[in-house]
Amino acid sequence: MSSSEDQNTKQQEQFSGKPSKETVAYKFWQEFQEERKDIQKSIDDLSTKSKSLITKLCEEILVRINLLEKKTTDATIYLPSYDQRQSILQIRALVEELNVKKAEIAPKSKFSFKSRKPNVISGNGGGGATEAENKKESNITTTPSTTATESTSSIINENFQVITLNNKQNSYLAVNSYLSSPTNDSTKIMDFHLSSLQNCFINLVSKSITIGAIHIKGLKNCVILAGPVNSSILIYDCENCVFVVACHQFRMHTSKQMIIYLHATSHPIIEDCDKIKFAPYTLSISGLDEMFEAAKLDQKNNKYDTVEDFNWLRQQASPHWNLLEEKYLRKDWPLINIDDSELKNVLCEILEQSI
Amino acid sequence: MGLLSILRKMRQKEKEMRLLVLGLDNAGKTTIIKRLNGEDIDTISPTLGFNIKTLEHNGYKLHVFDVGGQKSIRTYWRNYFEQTDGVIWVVDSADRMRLKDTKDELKSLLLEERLAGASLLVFANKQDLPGALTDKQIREGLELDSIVTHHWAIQACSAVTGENLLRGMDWIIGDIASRIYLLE
Repeated sequence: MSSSEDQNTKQQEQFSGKPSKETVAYKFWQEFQEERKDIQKSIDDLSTKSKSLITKLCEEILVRINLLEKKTTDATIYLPSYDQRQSILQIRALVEELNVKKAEIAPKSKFSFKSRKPNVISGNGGGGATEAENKKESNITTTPSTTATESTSSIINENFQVITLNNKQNSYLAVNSYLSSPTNDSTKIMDFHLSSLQNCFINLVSKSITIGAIHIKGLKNCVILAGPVNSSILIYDCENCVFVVACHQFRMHTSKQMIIYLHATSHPIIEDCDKIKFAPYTLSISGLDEMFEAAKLDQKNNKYDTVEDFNWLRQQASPHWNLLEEKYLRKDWPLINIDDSELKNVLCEILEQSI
Repeated sequence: MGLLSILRKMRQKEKEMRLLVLGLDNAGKTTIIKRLNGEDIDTISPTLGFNIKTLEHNGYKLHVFDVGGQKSIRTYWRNYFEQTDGVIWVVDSADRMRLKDTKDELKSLLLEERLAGASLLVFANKQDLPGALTDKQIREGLELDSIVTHHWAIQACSAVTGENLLRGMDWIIGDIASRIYLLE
């Protein structure tokens, strides 16, 4: 539920005690109609605006429509089905009208691939035309790592949104070196794709970003340090690594000889794995609490010790994983830059535990 | 039981649909279903077996089967194929490394005889992540345009924000409904 709705509900509770489902639904309906009329007015007003502004205005209106739709989705819990249906129809009518209006005022130029017509379902089963918005598209590697050449070994999105690191050996890789001007804006969300790395130390700890998701494949003799992840971490084909990570969901496949220092708010799972050791997340830096908050992770809820093994659906403990003994628990992690000369020693020292 | 209530009961039965939610692990299947059902989505663990939910949408009663996507349990998917009206295939749009895997799994799924005639909705999920591919890229990656055996549609969405989930559900329910009524 969005925060504004939360507030509304709260306000209502103050005035009239616990609100009934009907009053909440009625209130929603009123608000919905107000917002709908307002959007409708903005669409009608479009023809009076100057042409150069149209695209921008249309986008703004679209954002509002989407927001309204999201609110409606949230409200489905208490909304009567008739109201649900009506709101959906009315939202659809708005989108339709916006598109018509837009086409009227600013006709699409021929051969343009930039026309925005989002939220249109495409398919063979009766959907409309397809012109997906490509706002996120940029120079990101989309090919699997196996075909990657040196030139694509690390490509960064213009907007610093996705960092792809692959085909590297004996390197110290730090997220901070990819942030051209470090800001304190922790609302910036970044995804990481790591693949085919050997003998690398990967430091993804930065207060100026929140990590959206991490995808990992084919790492050998590597160490990863990472701040809290907003969604999930997915790991494939890794061997002899130490990962220090925090996330909502943790999945590891076809990997062996790993030590995972983990904070996970749901049960971690392993599949086709062996010799895995789990330990609690021990990264400690100033501002970690804020980072957990930014990633919406509950710091008190850590299920690192209740791992589910998909190859072992029995009552007895899985033979493929266990918890790291307390005496081996490492609490100090090198967060500063590591020179090439020291890299080998640092890696050896951290990794020898897992052998 | 009066005639009216018998008729009502039959009518009710007509309006039931069986939907199967499938896709690779980490795609967000459970999150989508819980989101649609208005449940908490912050503490969802990877699905070990399956979840069954009955949802009401547009006057239809939907029996939704959400089956885990881990490789070792994909072989159990076939246990749920019988009498399926629609398949919702969920893709983690940010998972570039497994786009081919999800394409291959979908292709072999569509060969399944018991799913012949089922409508296919592809959810290009996780659009809230910066690394997400667009629905157009997913459409190409999954080679959806080569599918001629099933009615299909693709919808970009985000289970976390709830964006476009209803739009996708509307399509698949409408498609199934038009098919069922056509037969009658």
